[in-house]
Amino acid sequence: MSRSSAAYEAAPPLSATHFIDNRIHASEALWAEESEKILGRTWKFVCHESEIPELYDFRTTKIAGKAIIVMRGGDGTVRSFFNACPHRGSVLARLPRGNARQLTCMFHLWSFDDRGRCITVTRPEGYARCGIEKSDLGLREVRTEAVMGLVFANLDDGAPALRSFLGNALENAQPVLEAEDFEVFHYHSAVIEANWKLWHETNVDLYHEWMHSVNRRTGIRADGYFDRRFLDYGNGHLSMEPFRVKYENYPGWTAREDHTLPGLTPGEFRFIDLFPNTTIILRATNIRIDTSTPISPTQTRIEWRGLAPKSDSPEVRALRVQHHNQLWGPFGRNLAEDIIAVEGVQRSIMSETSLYSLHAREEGGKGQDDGGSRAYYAEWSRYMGRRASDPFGSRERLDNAAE
Amino acid sequence: MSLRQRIEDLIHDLAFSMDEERFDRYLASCSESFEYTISVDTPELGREAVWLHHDKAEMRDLFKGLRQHIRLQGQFLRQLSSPYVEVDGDGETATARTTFLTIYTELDGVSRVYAAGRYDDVFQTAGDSPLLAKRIVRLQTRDLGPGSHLPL
Repeated sequence: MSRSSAAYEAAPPLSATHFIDNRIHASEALWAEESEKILGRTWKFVCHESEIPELYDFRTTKIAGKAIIVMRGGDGTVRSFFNACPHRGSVLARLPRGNARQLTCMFHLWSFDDRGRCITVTRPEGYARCGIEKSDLGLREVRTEAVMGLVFANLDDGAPALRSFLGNALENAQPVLEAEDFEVFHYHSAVIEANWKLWHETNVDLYHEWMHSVNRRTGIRADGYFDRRFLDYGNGHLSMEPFRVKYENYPGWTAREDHTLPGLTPGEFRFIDLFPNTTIILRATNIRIDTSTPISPTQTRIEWRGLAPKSDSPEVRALRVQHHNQLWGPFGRNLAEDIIAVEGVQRSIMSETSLYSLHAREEGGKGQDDGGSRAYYAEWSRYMGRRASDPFGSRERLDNAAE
Repeated sequence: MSLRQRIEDLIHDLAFSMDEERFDRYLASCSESFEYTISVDTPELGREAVWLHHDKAEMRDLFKGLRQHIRLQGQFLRQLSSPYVEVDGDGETATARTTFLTIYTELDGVSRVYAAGRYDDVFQTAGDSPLLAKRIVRLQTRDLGPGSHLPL
């Protein structure tokens, strides 16, 4: 039976943990609060160490909208700084990657070394009367730590250490990432018209795999798909027991029997979702890492990386690239479908035709249980101090709703 | 009609075939050894990356499976420059460079530039009609939004 307006607007008759109020994907006020309370305080994956292999290599990125430069210093240590000159704010590094012993601002030619110290001020005598010294003018350092080649940064100087934040969440990737030196062979990014959490919710949500022709054939119909248990590592980090994907079930594709990554068995699939916005997916022969940077409540830049062992021969690398692109490249059979889906969800939210999302599936913690997304939103609620199902305490129209 | 003119016509016909999703016609214009590659200069990595590489059989499989997939429902339109064609001295192959813009029009009629790049093509010219033997799409656009289930 269809529902009246009042019935449709009423909260679902479910436990408060089993649905969310979709305004958490649209509200400007909540987004600003998330930027401070979650994105500004948690560890964010910023790059793989192979992207800055040499001394003085740098890579630029963003955390919670703030421009960051990640740099390997002359001592080999990876540090991060705000990518802004403390003088007048000009961007220091304008390229996505490079190598520089010192960062020189193009605007007034102040320069900074690999520790973030200000080493040159043009015509310094002009500052003699006000008493500013170079030692007062260093870059803002951002805490940076690496584990298994994955570099994370955190805007919060007082946050717990990375290893404490992650706990054992990387145990499913550890046998692979520690067995070989990896490098990034694929990078692309796109701005999607959707809230950042919708992307990471989709990475946790296996129920949506019915949408994908590839996943229906190669995953859902494979032995053991529904027997896998979710693994909850705390702090919002999740994983699932591995299983073997039948790639050969998709027309024209072959089984992933050869060149399996060390630590995996042929065809094996694993994933790790790190709160709040990084996912690592291992598919037999290659690895994908997603991370996102919210631009607004309704826009998100997502970055995708593909990783493979550095030791690959050209022939083996070509095979891994092919396997990566089959599913995950911009012309692949899987990635586009997720984006089309979440952008559609966002449109419904903005037009206020979708008020609540149900996360109520229970399959004993296995298969397509919504336990993963419930754990994700429980952690969101912990940081935000409010339930995702009741973020405002009343149902009011969004101030930025679509007409 | 000169060989050069026939190659220019073929390049445009390939674009129309892809726009109109007439995949049999597209493949009929390709040699049996056809190879298709989308290559992207990735400044974040400092090198070229391959985003799609298929031979003719793989292209056929890709086209056959399209109906099973959730994909963008609007229309793509390929706007080509005048191809720059060079016929090799032996008369058996020719190369062509053609820049393109792909326009995507949503179902509500809003159009936007979807992708910009260049086709670097090799043609077999020994037979009655030239055939596309190799296409490298040198793609400049790197933010493709959702991406595409179709080649460019």
